[in-house]
Amino acid sequence: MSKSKSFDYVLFAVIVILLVIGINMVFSASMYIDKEIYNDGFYHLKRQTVWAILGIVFMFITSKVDYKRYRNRKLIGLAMLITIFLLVIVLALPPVKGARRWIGFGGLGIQPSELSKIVLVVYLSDMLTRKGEKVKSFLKGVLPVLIISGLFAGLIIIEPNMSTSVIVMATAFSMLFVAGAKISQLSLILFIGCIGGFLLIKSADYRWRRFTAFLNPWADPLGNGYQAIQSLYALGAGGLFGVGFGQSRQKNYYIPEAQNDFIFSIIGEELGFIGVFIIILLFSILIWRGIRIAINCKDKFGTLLATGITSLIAIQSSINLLVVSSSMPVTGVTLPLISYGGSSLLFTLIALGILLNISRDI
Amino acid sequence: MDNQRTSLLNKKRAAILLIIIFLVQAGIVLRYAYIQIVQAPQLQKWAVEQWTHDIKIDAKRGKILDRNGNPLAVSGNVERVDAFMKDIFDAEKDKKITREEIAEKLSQILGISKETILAKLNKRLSNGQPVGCVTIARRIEKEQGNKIRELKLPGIVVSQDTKRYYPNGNFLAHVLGNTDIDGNGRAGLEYYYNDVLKGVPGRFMGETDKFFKELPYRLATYIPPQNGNDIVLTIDQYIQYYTEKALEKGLKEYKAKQITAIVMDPKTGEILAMANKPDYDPNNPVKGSVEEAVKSWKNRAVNDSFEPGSVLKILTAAAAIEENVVTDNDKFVCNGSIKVADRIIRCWKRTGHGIQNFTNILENSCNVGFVMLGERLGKEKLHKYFELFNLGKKTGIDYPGEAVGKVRDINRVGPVELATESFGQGISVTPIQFISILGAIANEGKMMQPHLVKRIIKTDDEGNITVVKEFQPKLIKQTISPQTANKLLLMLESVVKNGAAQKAYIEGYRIGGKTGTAQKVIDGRYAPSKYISSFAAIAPIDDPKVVVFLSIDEPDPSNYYAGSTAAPLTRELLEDILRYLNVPPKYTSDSKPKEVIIPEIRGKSVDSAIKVLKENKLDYEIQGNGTLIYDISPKPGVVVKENTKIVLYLGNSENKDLMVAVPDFTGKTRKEILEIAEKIGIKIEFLGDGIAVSQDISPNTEIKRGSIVKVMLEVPED
Repeated sequence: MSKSKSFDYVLFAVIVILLVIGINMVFSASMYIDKEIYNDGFYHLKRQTVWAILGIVFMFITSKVDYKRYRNRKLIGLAMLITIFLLVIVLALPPVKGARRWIGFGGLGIQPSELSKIVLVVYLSDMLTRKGEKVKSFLKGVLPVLIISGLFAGLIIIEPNMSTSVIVMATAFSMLFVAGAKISQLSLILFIGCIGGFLLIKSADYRWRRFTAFLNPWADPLGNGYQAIQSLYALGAGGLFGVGFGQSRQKNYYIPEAQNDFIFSIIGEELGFIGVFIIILLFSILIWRGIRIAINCKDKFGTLLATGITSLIAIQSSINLLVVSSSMPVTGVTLPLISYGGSSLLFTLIALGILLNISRDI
Repeated sequence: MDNQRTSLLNKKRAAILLIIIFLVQAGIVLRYAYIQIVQAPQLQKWAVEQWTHDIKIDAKRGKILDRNGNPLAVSGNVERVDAFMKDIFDAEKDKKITREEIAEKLSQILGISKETILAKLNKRLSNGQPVGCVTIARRIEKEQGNKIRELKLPGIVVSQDTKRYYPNGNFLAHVLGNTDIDGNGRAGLEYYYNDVLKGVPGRFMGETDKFFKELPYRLATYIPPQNGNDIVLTIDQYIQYYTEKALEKGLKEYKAKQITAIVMDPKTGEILAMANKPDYDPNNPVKGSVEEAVKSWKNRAVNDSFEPGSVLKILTAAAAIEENVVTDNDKFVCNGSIKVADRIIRCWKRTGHGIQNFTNILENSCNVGFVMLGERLGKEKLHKYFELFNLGKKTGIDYPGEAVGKVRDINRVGPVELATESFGQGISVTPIQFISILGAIANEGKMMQPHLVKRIIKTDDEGNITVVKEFQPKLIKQTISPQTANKLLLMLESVVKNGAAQKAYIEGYRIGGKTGTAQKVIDGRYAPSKYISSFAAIAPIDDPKVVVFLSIDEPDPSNYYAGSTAAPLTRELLEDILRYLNVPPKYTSDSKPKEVIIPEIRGKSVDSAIKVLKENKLDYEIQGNGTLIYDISPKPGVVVKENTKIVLYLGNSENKDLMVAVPDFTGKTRKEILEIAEKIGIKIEFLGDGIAVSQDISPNTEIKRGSIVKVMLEVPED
């Protein structure tokens, strides 16, 4: 149990600021359509606020729990089994919006893939710590990591949820990198990964169409290029200074479910490049504090855990920002702390709570 | 538990990871800067184009009804066809159908060429992307729409469209106005009440048949339109019909340029009828050039001001009574002209009206008399009443583009101007403005707000009607006192009974009225042989139900005098209206019996002579024997009351030396005089132009048949 050393207040402040911006932008992005559909302009605002409060409570709890207590082989083993079980179960459930991602309880639902991200980071941190210098060996160090994370990514990709599986693999990769794996081996993995990724994209027709759509969205403006174009329209309409809070026009049906994956388009439209820059800067500060914690932590498990959590957020936010700016193919990834989404927000805050706890130990 | 320390390598690698992430983020920032600063103008343009490219679904425009609920303007059940390209592209991708086939099928039903439809389906925005949706056809018949629905073509949506129908064609056209191709009011009440009638348009954004279809990357919504409200007019369909019938007749008979009339209920200010001829068909408002069309939509009753002339003498008379500057016994002597300052102002009757009392000057419309009245009042008091009656101001009627009449600024009124204004010259009004003044006189001095809409109602889908707004009669102001108003009404009755407006007399009804014949002012000058002949009427004066103002623009110069054009036309209209309103006639001894001129029947056979007498409503008594009429008493040309007994002296030969009585031609027009002359067998020589003011042989003098009577005519400026 960590003696109540105070946690990283800068990190905490950035998390809260991003959360508050997120709630406001979810409200702005959803209000108009909510009035039409739910006859309640506050529909998403209310839910997001409840999830945020719940998330903060959980974040405080995990920030109090000594991260070293997660290094319990029974606990980790159980968590892994439950996560794999849920990832399998979800595949048997009826699809929602064309994908089997949700396990619902009543009105609420969670995505096992969100849970799997944290569980895998904890598991890999423990495993890589135990392996020590063996990480430099491909067969004994790198391969087991790739197999376990590949299992997760594989289960997630058949939901289908390609983006989360990419995040999972990329996070595992950056943890391998920080743990000390050989650059030569990592380069080879990266190369093979790219080839594999390309083949994967080629394998499913819808993925290939979406991929090529990103290169020229105007080739199919009402189909695969639609979201990219609408997002660019929003960013362009916002310009340098934005059209003002609440003034977005693109959120009115042009960008479907603007409070979700494409909320950053609305931010770009309403707050302009200035707002975009400030929010990216806030993410940079968050990532800087996270890596700073990883570097300053004397415990290797803590270092790897902090690296994993920070990587999750860095990779996910980067992918989202690249998708919104049509710099990569459209894939359904939320912007951490900002986008609407109950379980995603909850698990993000739980993970950040763990990061805050590690910050007490530096 | 193997607690390992973090190695230097771990720290180094973590720092490198941070640098890599920062580099990626820096790249992202640059990418956003490029989009939001460099590309922004172009993207913005495209975004705006997109925002303005939704399809608007027109709401069903509300009806316009007359005061009894008869429809005057309705929206028809027509439909439109739109194509939603996303669905068509999807169907093409799945190889279900091609655009070509869709165009082919639609072309057969719509009767539009396949190429035209295909061109619409292939349309692209200026940024090269295909349009989201495109309109294929509008205002198609329901049958065609249903046929298209049956085809179940992907992306082809049939929905309601609006088309305005005016079931009665030209009827009430100027009041109703018309709508443009998009169903927006463009003129008249359609324009004035556009916001009430049009409702709230709905919007298509994407597919309508799939409400919020839960598929990613689909855009789908349909916001249904809210139908417009109906408006109920104060117009009475029947009174409007009588009015239009009379105007149609007047336009032809007097070969006028245009003709206008308004009928108002003086107690409420409700306009019961308002019409101008010629008019147009609002179903087809633009024929030929647009400018010509817009001119034809102009409602002269509200949108035009002009000098009506002598009808405005009513105002001077009202002022004189209210200000107590005149008594019933005052004498006004008219010698045909009067000197004001250094100018001679002529009465329209050059020979003068002689000695008259106050009522006489109104009956005779004597300019000299009114100049004297104006002098007694002075310009301050006269203008005080102009202001009281709202001259030079709008009435505020609920109709677009109300014109405003002109009154000279009081500082520019000298003695000459005061004199001419006193008999109605130099003041322009709109018909609607004048009828509101006339209404005030008929309504004990209370001026009511003239209005055309009685209420706004809402009809829901089940046909339930709720009143949205009711327009109650609104008092604008008390003008003159009720006593003054009532005295004036009696004087106006006398004008009809004994004065210049006798042709407006209806037996059994007490009608008040005043004529006005004015030379038109064109480019600031009085134009020769261009007149406006007007008549203002109040009926009946003992309980005014209606006030009427009828004005003929440029009647045929051979017969333009208001007393013989506007007055008799108004009488015909009033006869219809009073009968329709069930106003019972009151026959009293005071009623003026009809007079007839005894026609020439001498030399005719007894049977045919009696027939002629019967036609003229004359009784007869036969004396002597024979087959032919030898002589009659009184002589032809004598004016007698209806049913007077005429003594017929019979004989078998023709009387060679026949005498006839010279009739009184005063006040009659050239045409009328010639008719009488032919009837009794005398010849006429005219001197001058206009209406008869004197004759060389005085009335009732017996002269030989075939003799010539010289009649002096004068142009009435009344």
